[in-house]
Amino acid sequence: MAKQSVAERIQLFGRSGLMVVQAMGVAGVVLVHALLGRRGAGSSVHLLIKQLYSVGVLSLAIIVVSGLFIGMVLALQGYTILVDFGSEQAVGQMVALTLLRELGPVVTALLFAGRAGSALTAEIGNMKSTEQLSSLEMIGVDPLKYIVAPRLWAGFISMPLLAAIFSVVGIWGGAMVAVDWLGVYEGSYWGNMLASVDFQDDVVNGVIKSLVFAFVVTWIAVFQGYNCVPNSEGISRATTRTVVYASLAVLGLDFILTALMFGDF
Amino acid sequence: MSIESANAIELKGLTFKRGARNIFDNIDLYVPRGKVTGIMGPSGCGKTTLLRLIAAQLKPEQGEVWVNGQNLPKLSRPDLFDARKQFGVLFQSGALFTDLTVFENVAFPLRVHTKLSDELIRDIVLMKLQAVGLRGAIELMPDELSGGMKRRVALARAIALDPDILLYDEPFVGQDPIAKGVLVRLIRLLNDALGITSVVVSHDLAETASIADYLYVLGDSQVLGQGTPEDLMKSDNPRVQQFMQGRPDGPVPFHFAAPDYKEDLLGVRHG
Repeated sequence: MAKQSVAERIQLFGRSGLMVVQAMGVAGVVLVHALLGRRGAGSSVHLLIKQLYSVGVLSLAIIVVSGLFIGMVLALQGYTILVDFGSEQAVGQMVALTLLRELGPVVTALLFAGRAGSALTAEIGNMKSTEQLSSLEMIGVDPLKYIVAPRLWAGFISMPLLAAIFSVVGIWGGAMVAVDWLGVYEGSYWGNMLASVDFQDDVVNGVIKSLVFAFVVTWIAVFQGYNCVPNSEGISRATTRTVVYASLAVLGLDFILTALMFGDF
Repeated sequence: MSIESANAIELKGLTFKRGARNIFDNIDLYVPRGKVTGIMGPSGCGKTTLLRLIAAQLKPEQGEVWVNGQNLPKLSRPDLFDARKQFGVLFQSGALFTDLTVFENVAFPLRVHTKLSDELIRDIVLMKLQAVGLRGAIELMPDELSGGMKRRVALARAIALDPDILLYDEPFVGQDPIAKGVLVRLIRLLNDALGITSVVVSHDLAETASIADYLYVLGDSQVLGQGTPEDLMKSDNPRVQQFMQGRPDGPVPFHFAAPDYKEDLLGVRHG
């Protein structure tokens, strides 16, 4: 390839910037069309239930297993550090706060992006490449309403619930390690937790985080599928992009949200 | 243009570009009502694009697409989806919904657009499948069908709502001679029995010429020739002649535009 001049490089840089802005615009239009406006032909609750099952229920296994192990690891690590200061009684509150504020929403969102987000992208992308989306359009059914909207709603609804399940299982796993194995007094594990976890500050903020992540991850996943280049390479790239972009967005947003919620400005 | 006009589809002054490339440059094309119209041309001349323009899945740079009295590119998104109910489209791949059975695929348009009872839907689906000869495949999944059968199921789905206009995108590609014969017969039969307007986009000369009442030959972003198949066979346009006779070289060059061969071999390497 010929060597590029400085001007050409600046031009390329500018063009890629414009393409990013354009893609965000298209993503916004897709979102608005899918969620607002009149109901399309063929939309029904039945579609949402089917998606809740495939996006939410089928993600349960990975969420429960991960939650259990993360809770157990947290208790184990927390105990070994806290026992040096003689405050191993605080391990319950440590596990609960870490899970509710951070790990519950964040790890659930990351796992969701990998498990359900990639599947959404691949499914929609495959429908696009086999002209199923086109043929829906030609039957007079808007694929944004029929295909995209129920998947978006299923993501919004199921991820906060999955995050809640993740935290609950994690706290229970922590109790198993701390109380049953390491011998922390059961009353102080649960008692300290109850005393220090605040419903508004910890639980509600965690749920808010989870809602934001649900919105972003599902949006990225369906948009990447809808907008992919309709061939096998395009679908695999779009699937990768879903996981990468969604994970980065979750981690970046987590910092911003944490700063807003818990930062002392 | 009134609904009773002699033409079901009228493209006027249509211009469409992909990037800097002109796919269509100010073309006019009329599809007579109740007839089978063939749109032919070499691969890559924009035949499928033309179908997508007719169905308003793509918007033209300039020009009008009139279908039964409506200028489709000017409609709002919800109105456009309503207007598309008058079309049945047979895609090249069939585009069946892979998660639904043959029955559910054909029933799909009926379920979303009508409030018919389940028994009635079942009867209609059976009739449509009988018309394409696949009533016996009603419980199969799309993966279990051969390519030709998929296309016939897709055809049954395309006629489920009794459309005014049927668009066929390369219906004969990749089909064995028997399947081709079946499709040729079906296209003609459905057109005449249901009184619909058919547009067949294809580069399979023999099959298309055998069923089309009227033919268009596209190329060079223009309509190169039009008329009945017999007219076109006698056309004095050398490009139309080359296409109709299937000659490998002629006004449409065998070689894609390239620099001088000798210079390319001896000259500086790319990259």
